[in-house]
Amino acid sequence: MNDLIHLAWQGFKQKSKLTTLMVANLVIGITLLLTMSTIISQSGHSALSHKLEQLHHVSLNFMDAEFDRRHALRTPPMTYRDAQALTLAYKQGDIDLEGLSFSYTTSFVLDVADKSARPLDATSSAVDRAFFSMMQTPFIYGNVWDESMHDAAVIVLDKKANDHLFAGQNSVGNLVVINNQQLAVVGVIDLSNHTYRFQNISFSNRENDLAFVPLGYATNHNLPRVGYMPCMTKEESSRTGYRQYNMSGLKTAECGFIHTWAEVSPTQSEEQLGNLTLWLRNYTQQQNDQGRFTHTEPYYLQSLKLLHDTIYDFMDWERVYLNFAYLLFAITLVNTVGILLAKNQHRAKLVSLYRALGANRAYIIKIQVLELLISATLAILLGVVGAQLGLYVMYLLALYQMDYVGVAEQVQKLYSMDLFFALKAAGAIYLTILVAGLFPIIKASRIAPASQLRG
Amino acid sequence: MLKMNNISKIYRTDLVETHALSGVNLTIEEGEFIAVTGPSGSGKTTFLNITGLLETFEEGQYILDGEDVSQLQDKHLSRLRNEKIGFIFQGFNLISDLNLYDNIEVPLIFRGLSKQTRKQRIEESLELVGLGSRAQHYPAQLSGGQQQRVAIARALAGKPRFLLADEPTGNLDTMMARQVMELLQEINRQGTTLIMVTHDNELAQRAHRNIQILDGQLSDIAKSQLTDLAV
Ligand SMILES: Nc1ncnc2c1ncn2[C@@H]1O[C@H](COP(=O)(O)OP(=O)(O)OP(=O)(O)O)[C@@H](O)[C@H]1O
Ligand SMILES: [Mg+2]
Repeated sequence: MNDLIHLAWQGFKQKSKLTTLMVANLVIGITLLLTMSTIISQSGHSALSHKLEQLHHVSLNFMDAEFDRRHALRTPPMTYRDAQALTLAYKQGDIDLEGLSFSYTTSFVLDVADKSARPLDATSSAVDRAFFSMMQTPFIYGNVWDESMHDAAVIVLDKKANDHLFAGQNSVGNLVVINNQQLAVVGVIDLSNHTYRFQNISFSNRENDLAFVPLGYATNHNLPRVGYMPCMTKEESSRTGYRQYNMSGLKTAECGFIHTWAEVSPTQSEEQLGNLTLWLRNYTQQQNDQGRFTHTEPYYLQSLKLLHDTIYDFMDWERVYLNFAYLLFAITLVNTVGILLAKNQHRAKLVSLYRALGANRAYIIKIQVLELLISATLAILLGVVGAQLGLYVMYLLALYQMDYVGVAEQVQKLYSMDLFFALKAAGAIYLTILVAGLFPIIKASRIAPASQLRG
Repeated sequence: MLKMNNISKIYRTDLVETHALSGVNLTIEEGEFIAVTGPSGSGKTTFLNITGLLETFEEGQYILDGEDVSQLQDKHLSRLRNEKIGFIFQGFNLISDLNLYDNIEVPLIFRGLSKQTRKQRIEESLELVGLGSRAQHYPAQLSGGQQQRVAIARALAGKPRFLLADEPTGNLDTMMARQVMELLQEINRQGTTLIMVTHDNELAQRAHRNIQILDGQLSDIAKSQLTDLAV
């Protein structure tokens, strides 16, 4: 093997201009391909990829009959009373699910009692306990609040908020201040793997929740509703009030703000989904008698996967570039074949001599395959480095486009290559380069021993 | 032992068919020294290439050490070529990118010899051709005669049973030619079968047996006839 590598290395160095040309050409193709496929792959990545088919966003479409949803990410959240009805049905055992969680998007200024850190403008969620097990987010410190604390003054911080307010120390038991109210920290979670804020189906990749408060506390203390909140036309005029302060009015209003997630078991998903669908249908039909749910699509039950596929559909230009990158890589491969053929034409005499000195055909193939692997390795290594640069440029562009409103760290996630992906891509690229190189290599191995040695 | 029965070789190009060899019958015993003469284009190199398993042939039978060559697969042929045959080409066919040591090492690598054995063989054979101190030189840094001797060293390093030399002295002056000839004869004396193509009658005289090729036809001739046929 050592000798083979030795001979392959000698071959690699021969006709060094052609070799350089071949590697440079591959590097360009690989750089572009890795850059674009990383972006696409990261954007398709979900922190809950194993639960894509288990988590379902549940919506009861209370909107006017003319309401145009436009796309899946604009599905109306539930009204307060519909959420109450669903909770009741779930508690009574009318619906069989692995879990059911309610939440709404809110925002407040987070402060520490002793003013030891600057206040933090925190986009957050008001959630129930079930939310945490559904998100499967690891707790760095502490845990969820107890069942009895569904409206208590407690809070779970994201690592970023904890880093900011408590310098990353264990803050469980410490107090934070929201609107002059003190809340006790019960846990700190790390959301850094959640590149998308899927919980409120905004799928924002700019920012995620910085804190979580109990849903009961949020409604009692009127924490504002800042997410997507569609209202029936007749309610439009009161909407600002519903958002800011009028919680009691909102409880009976036809305005949706509660995101509902149902988790089904992987083994019984069909029965459980059927069961839930049946309830949704019955409920909307009953309510229809009172003049509600006049829309042709009275409810939506959408898997996390479907929602992810929806964002993928939005990535038009990225996909165009990816296809372009594939095309360029194909051209690169064709060039590689051409350069290999040229190189071998220049070396026919050498191969012929090797054969005359006793190398068999298989041995010639082995030398040249190894030689190609050396070129491919070099090209892939340089291509990975190039892709890092490419991704950095794309990241800067993305930040620029967002006018710096996003959290840089969050955005950067989308533009960084993970090791597993890099290895997979490298493997695939190796394989394609090898397949492309096979023709010139086999052609070279067919050179007859004496054919080039006369004279 | 080497035996050819009725061997024919035809080169076909778009326009012409060249009968490079026709109906060659020949037996060569172990340890012989045979000189092959004949005019340019008569088929000498072709004959040597077939003998050295570098080329295939259309008709006839060639038995090398009891093995029917035309029945063998590439892998087997390559091994025979590597182990039994040492070839000294009409051009030297050294690899210009490699130094003398690496040049000689190539066929030994193909044989799968250990690094240690290779080193020993390379040093021995370089010593034998009087270039022991030049292992790290590149072919371009040597004179024609020295390059020819490297080619001989490469052929010898594998300790072949048959040494095939295609005009080994063709590019050398008389002095050099004598020296190289002496070296080949010495190797032959030690038991290696030597088949040498040459234009030089004086050198041919030194062989045990003389073969002449004329238009692809092969015949044994007496040494006394050599002078008359000088080209
Ligand atoms: N690859 C080939 N294709 C076609 N014809 C060939 C090929 N190789 C050799 N020939 C022809 O075969 C004949 C014999 O060639 P060969 O090289 O054996 O001659 P030679 O006796 O060695 O000549 P020289 O003394 O000039 O080296 C020549 O007519 C030559 O043109
Ligand atoms: Mg010749």
